[in-house]
Amino acid sequence: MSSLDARLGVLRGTAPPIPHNARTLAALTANPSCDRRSLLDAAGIDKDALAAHLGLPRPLRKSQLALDYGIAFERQITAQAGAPLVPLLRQALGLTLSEVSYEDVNSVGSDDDKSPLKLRRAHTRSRILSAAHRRSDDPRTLLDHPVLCLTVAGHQVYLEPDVIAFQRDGVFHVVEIKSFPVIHGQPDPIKANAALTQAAAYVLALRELLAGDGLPPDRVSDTVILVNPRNFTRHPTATPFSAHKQIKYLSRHLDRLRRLPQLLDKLPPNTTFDLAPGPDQRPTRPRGELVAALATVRPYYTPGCRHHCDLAFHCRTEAHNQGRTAALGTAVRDDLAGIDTIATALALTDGHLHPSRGQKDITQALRHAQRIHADLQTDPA
Amino acid sequence: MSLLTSLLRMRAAHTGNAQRASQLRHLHLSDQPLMLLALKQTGPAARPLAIMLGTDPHRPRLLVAPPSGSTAPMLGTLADAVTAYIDACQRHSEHLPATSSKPARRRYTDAPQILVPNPQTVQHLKDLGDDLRFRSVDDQNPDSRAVQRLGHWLTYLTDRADLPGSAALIPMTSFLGMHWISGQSPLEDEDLATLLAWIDPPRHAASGRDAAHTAEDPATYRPAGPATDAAFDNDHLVPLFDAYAHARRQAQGQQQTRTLQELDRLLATYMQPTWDLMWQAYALLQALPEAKGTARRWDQERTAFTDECNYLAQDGRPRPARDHAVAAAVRLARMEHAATAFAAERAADDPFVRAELRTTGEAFGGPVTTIDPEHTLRGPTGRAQWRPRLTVSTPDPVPMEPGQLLACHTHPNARYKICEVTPADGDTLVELEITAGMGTVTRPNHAVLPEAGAFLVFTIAPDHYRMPEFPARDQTPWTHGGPPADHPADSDEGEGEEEQ
Ligand code: SF4
Repeated sequence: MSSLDARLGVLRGTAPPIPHNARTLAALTANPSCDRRSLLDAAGIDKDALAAHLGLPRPLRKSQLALDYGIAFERQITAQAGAPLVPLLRQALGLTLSEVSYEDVNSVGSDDDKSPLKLRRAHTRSRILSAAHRRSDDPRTLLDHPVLCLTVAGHQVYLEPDVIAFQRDGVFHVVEIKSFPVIHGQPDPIKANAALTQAAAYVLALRELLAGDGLPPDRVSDTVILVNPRNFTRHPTATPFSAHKQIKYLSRHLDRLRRLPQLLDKLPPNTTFDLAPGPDQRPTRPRGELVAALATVRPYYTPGCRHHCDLAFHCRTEAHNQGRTAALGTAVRDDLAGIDTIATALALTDGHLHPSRGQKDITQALRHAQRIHADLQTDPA
Repeated sequence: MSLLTSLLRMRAAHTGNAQRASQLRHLHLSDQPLMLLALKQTGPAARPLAIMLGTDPHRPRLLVAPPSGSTAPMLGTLADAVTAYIDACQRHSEHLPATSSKPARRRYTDAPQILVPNPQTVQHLKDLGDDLRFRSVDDQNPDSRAVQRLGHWLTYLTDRADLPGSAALIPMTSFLGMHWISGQSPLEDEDLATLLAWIDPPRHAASGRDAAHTAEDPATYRPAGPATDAAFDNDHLVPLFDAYAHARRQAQGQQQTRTLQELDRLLATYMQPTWDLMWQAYALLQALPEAKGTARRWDQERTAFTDECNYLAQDGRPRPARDHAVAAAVRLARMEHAATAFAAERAADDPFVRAELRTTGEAFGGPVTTIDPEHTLRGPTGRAQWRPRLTVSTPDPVPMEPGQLLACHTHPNARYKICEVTPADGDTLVELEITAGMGTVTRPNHAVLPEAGAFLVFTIAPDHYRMPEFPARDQTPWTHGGPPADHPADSDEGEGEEEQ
């Protein structure tokens, strides 16, 4: 075990690590400036468990109805050896899949296997490489439930794309099955972006795999295929989307994650986020201690955190207590660039505080706004 | 967002109480709006779970769709309720005399107004409209025509909601946000319960902030929809849905009915708090005085409504799934025009809006220091043109160039051209020439000349707008082209059982 792993292990305490997946990687890019999240995720800490222990709302809790719906849709697509998928991909990719071969990597690992992920990964690897080198006469055109590996901050992270499609002319495509609808050709842009960012993680992982065998990155297409319910039905439709932007963004962000050791160096000794479960598995860690431990890592709270981070309500309270301008939204934060707290901004506005050199312009603008507002109160003309 | 709203947001956060923004209501409020709350089922694109609606605060009507199986009966009832409301707006009409561009015609004296909690509900209704308006009409089933019609109206209303200044379908949180600024973020403002707690806290609450905090208590908090929260899904809906599916499989009619009744009760309690908040918000907004332009915009709303009724009576084919190029361009142009017009009218009517513009550099204000009422120009024909001049001294930054045309709230039809901008210790002197609205030398309109010392605010004049030339409606059959090619099987309705 590397010393980095050991240090992260101390932070996590006794709980088993929660590995990164495509979803958490996508969420990371939603707020790349947050050290707190980077560190907790790198250490595989269960942020939802932290929020629950702190007695806070859990914004990312999943609805069983949503999960069931998603699973039913995916099953429907991959049923009968992927039969419903073939015509869709043929259309979306212009595949000439006259003789489609489909393989479900899931079926290779037996249930009692200790490391089905590892096994599935090995199978995926050999299938992909043989297809890429055209070693076999029977290139796998559709690979269901493959497992890929991506290096994230020096760690191997297992990723599970839905399907990988291999085109005859030698290019791989990532196919994601998502249960949000595409209505008249248009998906919800926020959901589509999240799906494409996840797909970007798969593209990068696939490229990493091929690079290990000396194959160029353009063997994996930037274009990913989303399979969604069409309009108001459960009938699937496949739409190609360019994930170029998301791929670039994600890989840039992953590069930045290498700063992990620096983040760790900044922590006070003995910092841990261990919930210290008792014999009944209930956390025994005093809440105040946990809050103090969280306070040692710098957050970057925005109201949008609630869409992608379990700790949103904790960080919000903290931001409120500190009177942070960012708690009022990105517009206020950007308007007041350089002033972190509401109290400072108001003191500058009201002349109780002298602006530093960098604050002169914004202070002048604030005082001007204040004067105009005061006029409005006295003379509502 | 302007720096002024940012400042007020900080004041609200600091004091714990919402701050007043505009004190004039720019959107018409009907005496009898149709209040409508919608919940959708988690998962499918636009499957309704429940709708609560009505015009009487004390008697909401709740319509619930079964967890699985056909939603047609529920949608049929909904269609009847909405259609009855819309029909009632067509009871009376007025005569409009012919104008230079239009023949004489009749216009309904009322138009529908639907109030929903938030922008997400508008989106849900848009999806529902997209789904329903392409449903096939089946003569065997009298509901089907009404349901298709409902789809049409939902599309009309949600289209109107995209138009700035329209009051046909208004999300309450946005409406409140025009008049109050809370101490939470705009994202959090999309939640009706907390926003209203900031604005109008219950009497026992120490502050708006405290009230908002209490409103968030998971034990009592109910989101306003259309999405239900995961905890509610998992703890309440899943067991009932399972029971319903089980009873259905076993064909236990009674058990099914009982489960549905239980679902009714559950959803009634779930939605009631939001229903009450909607009426609380309505009362607050109703108490605000209307801005000058509000009534005129409502006239336009009635015109649009009358046109739509005529269209339905004469043609009635559903709008296409997606606008084709010309229709999309027309729509975009109309939206831009509406946005500019609404902004200009608000600036003319509302001192708060002008104050905001002064902080964004789109307006400046100050006292008139000198007036030159006799100033004339030689026009191109050599004739003297009367162009009175005045100078305004303003403390505002004036990031504008000479030649810029301005409007002023005191005389909305007058136009002022900047001649010169001169910084003078602290303040800025702006010399203006009146270029429109002052009449001619022979027939001058002296009213437009301000008194020295008068405090005036000048805003950037809206561009003179002409709707770009587009092919006429009857030459663009695709603007009402009916169902798209992929119309069949656009909906699961009628496909029957989808249970695993
Ligand atoms: S909620 Fe907190 S930890 Fe999570 S991303 Fe936001 S600031 Fe970072």
